[in-house]
Amino acid sequence: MNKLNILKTIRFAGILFFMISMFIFIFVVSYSSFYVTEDIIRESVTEEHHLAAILPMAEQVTGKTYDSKREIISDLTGIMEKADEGLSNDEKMWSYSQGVYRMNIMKKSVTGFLPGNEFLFLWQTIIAGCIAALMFILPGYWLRRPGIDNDGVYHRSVSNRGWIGITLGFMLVAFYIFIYWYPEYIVNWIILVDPISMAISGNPASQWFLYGVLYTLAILVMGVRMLIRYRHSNYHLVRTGSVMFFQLGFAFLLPEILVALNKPYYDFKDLWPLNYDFFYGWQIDQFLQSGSLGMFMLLSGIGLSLVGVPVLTYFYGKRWYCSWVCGCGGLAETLGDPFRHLSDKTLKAWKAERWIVHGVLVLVVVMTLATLINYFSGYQLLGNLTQQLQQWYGFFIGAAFAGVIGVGFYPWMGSRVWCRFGCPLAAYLGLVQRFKSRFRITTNGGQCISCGNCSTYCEMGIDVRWYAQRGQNIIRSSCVGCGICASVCPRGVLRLENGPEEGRFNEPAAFDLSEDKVKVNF
Amino acid sequence: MTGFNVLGMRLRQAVCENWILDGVSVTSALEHLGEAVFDPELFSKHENAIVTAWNEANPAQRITLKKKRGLYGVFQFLNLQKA
Ligand code: SF4
Ligand code: SF4
Repeated sequence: MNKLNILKTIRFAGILFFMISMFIFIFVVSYSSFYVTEDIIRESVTEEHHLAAILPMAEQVTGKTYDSKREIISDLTGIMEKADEGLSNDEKMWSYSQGVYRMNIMKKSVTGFLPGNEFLFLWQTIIAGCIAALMFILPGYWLRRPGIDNDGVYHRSVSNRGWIGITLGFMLVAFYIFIYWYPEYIVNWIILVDPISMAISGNPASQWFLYGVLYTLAILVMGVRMLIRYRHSNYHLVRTGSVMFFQLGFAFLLPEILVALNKPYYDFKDLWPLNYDFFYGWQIDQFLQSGSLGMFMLLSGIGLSLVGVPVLTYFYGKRWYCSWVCGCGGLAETLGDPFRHLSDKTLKAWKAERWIVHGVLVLVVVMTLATLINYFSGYQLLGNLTQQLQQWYGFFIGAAFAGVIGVGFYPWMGSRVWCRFGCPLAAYLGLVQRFKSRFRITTNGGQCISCGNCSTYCEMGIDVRWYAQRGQNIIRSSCVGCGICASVCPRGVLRLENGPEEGRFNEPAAFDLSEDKVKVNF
Repeated sequence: MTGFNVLGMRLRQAVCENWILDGVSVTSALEHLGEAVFDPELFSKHENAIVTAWNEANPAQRITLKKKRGLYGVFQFLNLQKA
């Protein structure tokens, strides 16, 4: 067998192994058999008075085997609701603690093949899946030559809204719905990552830890794909390395380490207004109660949001955040890369985008101001109005828009649905980029041949060609500076630049033709 | 200076055009090559290698690369030409 065939065989085996581990992964989560004991309840319900309220009813759930998740969930919810009825408002578990207890009870009462074999199944599903994905990705280094090669993206089912793509989309949507609203149904997956969580922070895993693990692995594994695919371009190598670093270090490890040290869970680079609960009362209290480190978190968060963002965006454009640092951007630039051409380039989409994204920005500013006013007035002024605002925002924007639609719709609407239509921080960065920044994409005179590659592969749906044909610089609030338009251009027409503001909005140049020459008006 | 063959490098059209219009010499264009570079950010720079190669081939007409003046210099140069 020659080298080429060996590489192709490895790729094929990679697909096969990936399918197998996906299959086992889904099998693991669908298996349900639970056996609750009183000891489990004692271990799981950490507050004494909650335990005291629950224990008298424990018999209703202990001592029998449950074969359906729905039944055990409804029984556990039943006794906790009952217990809450007997408690005063200050003592109640409310749905938050109920959820935590329910999850912990279920984790400990799983029976069957899983207990004792967690490592085996972690290996067979998540780890084997990553290895299989890398078996598919790494041979690309020898199979593809350096440079842009987008052959066939519109012929592959996964990247052209074919059945594979749509199936993938449905699976992502389902995954997000479970993570946000029905975490008990995927309790078996959370058990798999328990050992990792215990090793890092000493706490049992929650659904958010599972989410963090999978999210980070997606960025790392697909980041390797990016690094191979764009290895001819230092720009893409450095920025991909940057998002991988920030996701692994700042978004995943550092907050867990902080928790292990008994400090608040905090991601230093997750800035308000994307991090919409930064100014929530409980969050501010938590900062204020955590000594000098908490103070540093509070001040660095405020400073970065209010000073860092405008200053850095003035010098480098919004790309310093959106395609170098941000977690959502990181996922879009790695996992989302195969879908980037699916973004909508129509004028209608642009108009909708401006209304929606700035609407979310207004919403988050109003909500934050109301929260702060309420906080400093001791909740006298607005009562629980802010709490309701927060709940609505968390549900519709924080979960449904950013998560379910933002990632679930990758295979349908491209990789930046959330960044383009929903992210309030992107809107804020965009306003700075549009009106007060040194960043622009320079169009090199009249070199454009109107091939349209730039517009096709712009994940933000910017019709780059429209500008390039006219010889006009591209200055758009939505541009995240990913640099792909410049890379895919066969004529090298486009260049991302930070230059003096003067002359940034140039006159369209390329159309100025005369008898004897092409005149370029700068 | 009558035309360019940039062998896959990217050069800024406006700068090159002005050089042609002004009829600058090859040596002066090479010395100021940094102003015309249009390769993407973070890419390796070739000006030094080109100037070294020129000097090896033309020992009689040795040139030195003028320090790249950055984008600001480029715009100044172009505005100067327009005025
Ligand atoms: S215009 Fe270019 S750099 Fe900006 S988002 Fe689109 S492809 Fe990326
Ligand atoms: S990719 Fe380059 S040549 Fe093609 S339309 Fe865009 S700017 Fe023009």
